[in-house]
Amino acid sequence: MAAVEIRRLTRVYRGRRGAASVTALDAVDLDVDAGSIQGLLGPNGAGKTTLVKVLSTVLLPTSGSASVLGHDVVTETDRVRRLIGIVFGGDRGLYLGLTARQNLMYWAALYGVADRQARARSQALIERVGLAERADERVERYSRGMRQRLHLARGLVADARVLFLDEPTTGMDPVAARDFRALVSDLRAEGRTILLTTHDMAEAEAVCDRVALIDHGRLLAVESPRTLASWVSRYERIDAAGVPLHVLDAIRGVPGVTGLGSAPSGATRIDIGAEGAAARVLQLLVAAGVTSISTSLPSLEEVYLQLIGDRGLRV
Amino acid sequence: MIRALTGAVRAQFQMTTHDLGGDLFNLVVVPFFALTFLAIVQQSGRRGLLGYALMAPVLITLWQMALFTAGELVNRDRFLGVLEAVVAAPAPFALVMAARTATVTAFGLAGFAESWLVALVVFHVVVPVRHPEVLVPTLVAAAFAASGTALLFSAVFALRQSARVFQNSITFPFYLLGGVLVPVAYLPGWLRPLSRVVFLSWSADLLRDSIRPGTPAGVPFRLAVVVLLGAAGMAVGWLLLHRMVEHLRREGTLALA
Amino acid sequence: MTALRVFRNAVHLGYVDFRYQWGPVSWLVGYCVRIVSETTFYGLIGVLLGSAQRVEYLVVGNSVFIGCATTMLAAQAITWDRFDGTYPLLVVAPSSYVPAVVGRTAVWVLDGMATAVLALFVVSAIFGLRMDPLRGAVALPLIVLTCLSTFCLALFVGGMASLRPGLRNMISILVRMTILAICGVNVPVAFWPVPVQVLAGVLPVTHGVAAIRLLLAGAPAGQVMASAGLEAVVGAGWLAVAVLTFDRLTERGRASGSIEFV
Repeated sequence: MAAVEIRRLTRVYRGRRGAASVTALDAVDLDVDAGSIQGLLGPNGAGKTTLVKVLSTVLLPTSGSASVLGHDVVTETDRVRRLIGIVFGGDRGLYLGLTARQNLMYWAALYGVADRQARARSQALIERVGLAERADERVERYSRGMRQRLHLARGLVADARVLFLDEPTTGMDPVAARDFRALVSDLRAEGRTILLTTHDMAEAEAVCDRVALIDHGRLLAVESPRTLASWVSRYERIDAAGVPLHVLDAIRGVPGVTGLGSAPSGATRIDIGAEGAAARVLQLLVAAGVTSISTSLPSLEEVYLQLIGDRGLRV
Repeated sequence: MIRALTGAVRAQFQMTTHDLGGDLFNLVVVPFFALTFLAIVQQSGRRGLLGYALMAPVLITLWQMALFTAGELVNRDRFLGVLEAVVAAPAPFALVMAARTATVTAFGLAGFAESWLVALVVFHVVVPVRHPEVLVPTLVAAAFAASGTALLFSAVFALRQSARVFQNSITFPFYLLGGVLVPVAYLPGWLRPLSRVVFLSWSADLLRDSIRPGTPAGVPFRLAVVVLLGAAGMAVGWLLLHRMVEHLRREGTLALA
Repeated sequence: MTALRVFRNAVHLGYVDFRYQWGPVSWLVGYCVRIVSETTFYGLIGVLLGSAQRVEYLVVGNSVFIGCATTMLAAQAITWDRFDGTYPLLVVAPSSYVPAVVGRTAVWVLDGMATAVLALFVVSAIFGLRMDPLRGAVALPLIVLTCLSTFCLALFVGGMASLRPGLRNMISILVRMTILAICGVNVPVAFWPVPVQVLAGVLPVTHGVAAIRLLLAGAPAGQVMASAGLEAVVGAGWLAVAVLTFDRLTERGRASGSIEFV
């Protein structure tokens, strides 16, 4: 059974003072399997946070429906709120004047957790996220990484079965982000369902069971991270310097070569759009005695352009 | 619900006691008001009016805690980026904020002790309380009314950021209208009806009656009016906060990210 | 004349600060109603005490005070560069920091002067206090003098508050409330014990409000000028202390590393 079911979910923001409306979510369909980590990958403004807000009952959809563990987020708001935990990224979302422990106790109370249980759970969570030594210091003195870990603890204080993590590693250094992802993976092992939004492809690959690509409010695809990685690798690019003209003509004719242009370095840039094409192009270059060759993968934004842009490629 | 209430009270107590320079700032200012008022009366030789000077700072402090501290709680949560999370919690948002505003406002009662200390230490004056059975319920009722007013303030200042520019303006006009030091009877006739809808005037009269000789009249009714005015403020504040949350859920402007 | 240019630009910045807080409507409706109410509040105590003399004493004292209290906002305004993140930039600029500070905060002196004049004349009218027009006119420069000397204290207080910007509001208001209590605003300075009188003597407002009261009561010009002179000396003293403090604080900040790029 899907822990989260989303059917044609749409959210339109009305434009103010003559400005155009913005469709933040456009008929999104998505199921999140129970006990899995679902990634939601997209650039800034793609609709990731809007989706999390709707699912966490903070925002009403314009149309469509969504349910969490069988409860509709609009008509059964109270039930949904008892089942979910939200984890933000960044510095905000904590009471800076309270200690970590005091923050957790407060949130536990808001979720109806009895005091004794809240105390025990807070302590366990503090230890779990590695804040035991600083648990009684005010949050205003915490680093970004520490605050993020406290965010996670806060999201778990009510023992939520479904967690929404909204760009949780924003601004974290790589080591802290890696440790955080390890924590998130542990949660899956406990049978929790996690929806994680990110604009970091590597993060999506590292943690998620499945990844949904979203842009301009529309779901482009839902695939396993491996499939996504293969898409990215399919859209390789090869930069080569000093390529003879006749070789360029031959390369143009290779199936799967989508374009020839100039790299910033002045070398020729060869865009690849199909598996196997890169190997053929490299053969041609090496046979022609070209030695200055480098390959690279496109950025996430470039993958999106390939998927939805005017080159007309489809996956 | 009870857990949310007690948790909110506890957390707000912790936040307030941490921030002496901020939240409890009004308590630092109280002795100066007491000093000034008592000095004016003492210097004039009208010792029978010392009780008036003693009671005024309490009400001023309650009002200022409600206006400047409790009235900013919703905005503060917004600024911290916590508002969404509070709204998404099962506990009713208005209930949580009511508990927190009440906690903050209650600190204003310390103004009473501070006033008395200033009278004792600086002027060697002790004003006898002839009717403690009037004084204590009045202080409690006034604190409740102030917290109800605070909830209203917090809702208005959250809904209309532009209203905050008038925050400082809602002090002395209300101390005057509320007769916190000089009874309402000294105001022009056309102003007096306005005074009757401000809980300060009823509270101030009751507090002064608690130190005057003779039996104060109509105490239960007057206390009920104080409580009712506070409840009215709380009800309107509750409604506005509920509307605010629904509006923000519909229009999507809760987000700060 | 770099200092003058800096000052002029800083004055404009101060005006922008002021407009950020107040528009014409909010100043008139919100602010003026409050200051008139505050002065009336104290004047009404005189009515409660049953003394016309007390009413006049309280109205004059609190009108002047409320103008000076407004001027004290300059103390908080001085810390705004720290919050804006512009303080380090001012420190490293070749020109002195002082014209920038004085210029940015000067708007509050003007606001204070207008406030005091408004309070005095409007509230006097409310209580039916008759004021000799000539004396009322001469009171204006005395109000200006008192606000300026308060401004000099505000510069010092603001400089010190910069060490703990989070406490700027509390520090400024505590100074204001002290002036309200002991500087002859509501009760004669002589009412207080001698040590308090000495403190009052070196604070602004004390001599300024005394000069204004003497003037309105028709006292000899010599007495009025003597009090005014003392107020000017107090103001000059605080200005000197303020300027010294700014330099010291800057050097201290550079040595300790407390000047942050926000």
